[in-house]
Amino acid sequence: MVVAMGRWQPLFIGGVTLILSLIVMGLCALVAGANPVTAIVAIFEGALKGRYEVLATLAEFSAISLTGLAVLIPLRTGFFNIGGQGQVELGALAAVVIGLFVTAPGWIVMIIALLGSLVAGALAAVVPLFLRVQRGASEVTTTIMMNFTCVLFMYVMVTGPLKDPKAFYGTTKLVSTAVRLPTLFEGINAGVLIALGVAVLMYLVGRYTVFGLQSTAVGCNRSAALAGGIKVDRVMVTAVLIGAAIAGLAGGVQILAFSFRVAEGWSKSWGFQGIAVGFMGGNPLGVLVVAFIFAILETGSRNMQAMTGVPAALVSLFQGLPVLIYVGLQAAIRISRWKTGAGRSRRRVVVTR
Amino acid sequence: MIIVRNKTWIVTVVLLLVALLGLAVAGCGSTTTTADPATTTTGAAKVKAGMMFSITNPPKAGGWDRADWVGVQYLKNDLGWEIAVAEGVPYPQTAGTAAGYAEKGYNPVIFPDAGQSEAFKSVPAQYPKTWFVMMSAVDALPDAPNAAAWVPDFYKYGNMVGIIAAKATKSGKIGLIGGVPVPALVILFSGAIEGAKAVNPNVEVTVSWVGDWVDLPKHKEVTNLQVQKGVDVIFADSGPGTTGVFEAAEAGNAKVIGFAADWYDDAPNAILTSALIDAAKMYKQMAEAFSNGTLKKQIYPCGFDFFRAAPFRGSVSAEVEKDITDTIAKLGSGELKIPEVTHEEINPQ
Amino acid sequence: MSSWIVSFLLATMRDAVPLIFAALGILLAERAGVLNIGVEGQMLAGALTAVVIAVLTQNVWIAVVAASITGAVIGVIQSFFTVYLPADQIVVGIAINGTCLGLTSFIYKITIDKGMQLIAPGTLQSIAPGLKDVPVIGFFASWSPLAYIAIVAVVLMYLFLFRTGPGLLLRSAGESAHAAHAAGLNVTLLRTIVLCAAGSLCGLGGAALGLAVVRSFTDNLTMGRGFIALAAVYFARWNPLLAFGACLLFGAGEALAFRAQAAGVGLNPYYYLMLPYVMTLIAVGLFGKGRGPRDAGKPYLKG
Repeated sequence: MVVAMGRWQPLFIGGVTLILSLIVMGLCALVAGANPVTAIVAIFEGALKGRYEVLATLAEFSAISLTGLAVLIPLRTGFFNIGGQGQVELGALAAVVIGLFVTAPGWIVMIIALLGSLVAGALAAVVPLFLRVQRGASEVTTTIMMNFTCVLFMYVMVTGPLKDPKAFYGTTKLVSTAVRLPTLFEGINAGVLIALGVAVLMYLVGRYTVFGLQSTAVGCNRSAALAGGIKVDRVMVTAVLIGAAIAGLAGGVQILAFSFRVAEGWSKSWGFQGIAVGFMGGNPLGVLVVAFIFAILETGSRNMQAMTGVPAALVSLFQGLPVLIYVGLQAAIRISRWKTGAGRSRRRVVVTR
Repeated sequence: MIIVRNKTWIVTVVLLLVALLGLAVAGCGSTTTTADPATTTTGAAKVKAGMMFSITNPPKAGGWDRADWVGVQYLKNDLGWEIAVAEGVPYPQTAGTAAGYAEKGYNPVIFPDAGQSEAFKSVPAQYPKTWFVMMSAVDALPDAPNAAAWVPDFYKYGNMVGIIAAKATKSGKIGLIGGVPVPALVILFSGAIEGAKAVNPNVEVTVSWVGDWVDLPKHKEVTNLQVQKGVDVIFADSGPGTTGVFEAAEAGNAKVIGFAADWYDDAPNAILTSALIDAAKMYKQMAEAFSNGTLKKQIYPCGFDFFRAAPFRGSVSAEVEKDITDTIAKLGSGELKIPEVTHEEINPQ
Repeated sequence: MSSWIVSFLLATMRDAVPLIFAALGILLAERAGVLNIGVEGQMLAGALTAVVIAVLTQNVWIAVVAASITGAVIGVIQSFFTVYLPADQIVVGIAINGTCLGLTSFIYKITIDKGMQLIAPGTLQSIAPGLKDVPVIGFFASWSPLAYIAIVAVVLMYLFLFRTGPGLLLRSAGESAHAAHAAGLNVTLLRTIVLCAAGSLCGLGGAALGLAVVRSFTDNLTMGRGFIALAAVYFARWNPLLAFGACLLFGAGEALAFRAQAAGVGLNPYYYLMLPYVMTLIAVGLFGKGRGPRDAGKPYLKG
């Protein structure tokens, strides 16, 4: 099977994935006793029809795009950052703590809180980094471990020292309105623009700075990069810290723009979705596109569940299935082109790992 | 994994992004109209209600969810309301879901879970045209005028539970197991303790909190710990995790009193009886008030006439059953007076 | 022995059995060079299959076999994506987890909507419940039959990996897929078979959860236990005997967490739940990576 689509490939795969996923979801809706067409329409309506819905989708988008970047940037140097969820939670925790306890004019506290979430996110990656650099331990394990450690640590804080005394479950108080990120035009929150800005920034860094090019070199062929004089360890460490900081920022933005506090059950699985987004996106701008699609699926499927009465289980299904389809299609196409020797297009394809 | 460097592709991506954002902004135009609560009349327009559960599968989840579900079915089938039900919404995200319903013009928005009190208190002020009703215990109404609550007298209900447990126990030790320590549950358990003591001053009551409504192994383990201490009658108030309580009780030859709905079919060997709450009646009253336009900002109390014990089906001897039924009747008629004591010490918060 | 300790030890063993099976599955796969991150999904699928089949047939052993088969099927699907195509093992693993969570919850809801009471026979809860109160023997009689099977499986896995020819070949494929291929081994086939076996072991772990720890199913029954098994494997540095010990340790942590919460004393229960992950990180930090399979996680592309 020779598929020669060149530069349109990711869009094509994305489109097919969406269509196949919708078909499967429609079938499941049918089995559950709902009208499949209504269910599918409910997904799009829930995500895009109406101002409130679009804003909700953009809120998810701001989180998922940042966590996608958090996976992508270290990935370029060959480091798998699976600990995104934990980094998000720590970043959110830092933002809440700073928001609640630092006394200063509102917008100053907001800036400090955002910076704090960056630092907290990076801190969450220190242990896995250390273990990889000093001990050669595979970061796949250590970042997963850190994930749960950070999330549980956040739960400890939220059910213990930081708990709102008036609440009956683990939650902190809300950060005051003065500290929150402002809403800009048409109700779009500044947090969304932060996400877009960071993505563009990372794109520029990746393409036009020494660091960015070094990252790619390290990821492609570590020994060659080393031989070429690049300090591979330092590049990798920097990339990972940046990635983790971005994940922390995702948490901070969610707090200051949308949730205003951390609690048991406050977050969604942005970290894990970010892994898929980072892989599927391929580069910061691609991450934005994929993240937007994921955000649509997220808000849309919740709306579908509420409006058509299909089981909530389909929401999780909709998180896992599209990834499988996309990854499968992408790999299938790549292998078929590789095997047939096709692909002498102007596109320079670099395969890592 | 492929890293792509090609200017054309990047441009395409950017264009797509711009197009998508444009689509989004274009879709921003429409806002949905909301119904004015004061002028809603019966039968004129179809009522669209929105509600959210914190667990999934409400018809088969916890006792309160099942009891509520009967009410929901009544609204749907008997009154022809259109009800959108969101499932599995964690407490911190409830406010967002409720606001979402209000935005889309759903009216009323129903909160079936006492744990959702935070959202119930914060959302109504933002949507003055929508009615928000809490169909469970809440300590106070929000400031906004468009909120009401149907509050069962959980203390009295707890008295009834305590009486049943204290009279049915052979070991003199009874247990109360709760999922999440919501204030309503603390009141309920306080009532149970006092009710049990009124009937048998020497009864030993153990209170345990699982920490969530759903974790099966955890519920089983907590129940195990009680059963090992000699508890032989347990009242379990939790969500889907209640199945774990039944398993441990059955293994340890203890009996369970079910919460709010009739649990007999789930665990015929373990169920003693169930302390039923007529949530359907609550929903009926709420629907009538809403449709007639008589819904007011107030707490509508649901007293003893909403509670009764399910058939014992031979789980205790005939004399014990009669004794229990008589005592409950005395509680209902006021002949048996039980002091109102809130046992804050059982609250782990 | 005081009854608190007896009950605590029994709870430890009970909580550890699903972890042991899952850990063996993960370990086997990683020794052959494949990451089995989809363990949560396999356990959930195994648990649901076990409970449903047990209710339908009223025979727990058929249910256990069915659960293994389900796990194996998911393993084959996983191998299609990661070995045959190949796509990245981590992304596929996480996607499988999400997909299985959705599918199992969906099927669960359909079965109870049809009126099935998903309460399985309690045969696997303990070997001889009647002997419960007999001193010493009663303690061992309160273990699930699956616990004994798990112990045997641990020993067999150790012997297979370290004392047999095929085990050596498997480990070599994990160290360097290309070298193994050069030596004549069909690495693709090996990895597929191994994923199938790993899947069936993890499915077995799910059956242990759904039939031995409890007797029913609910949404997301595993609640992250698959990742705890993953932690146990790394903590034990891919050694089956040490992994068994790690699972016991983590099972004890879980039992302790419940007791602390129920009694309202001790540390915040979430600290106990953190134990497996923190201890694994510390172990990795102290003892280094250990001689684990070098090629684990890399897709194998025939040159």
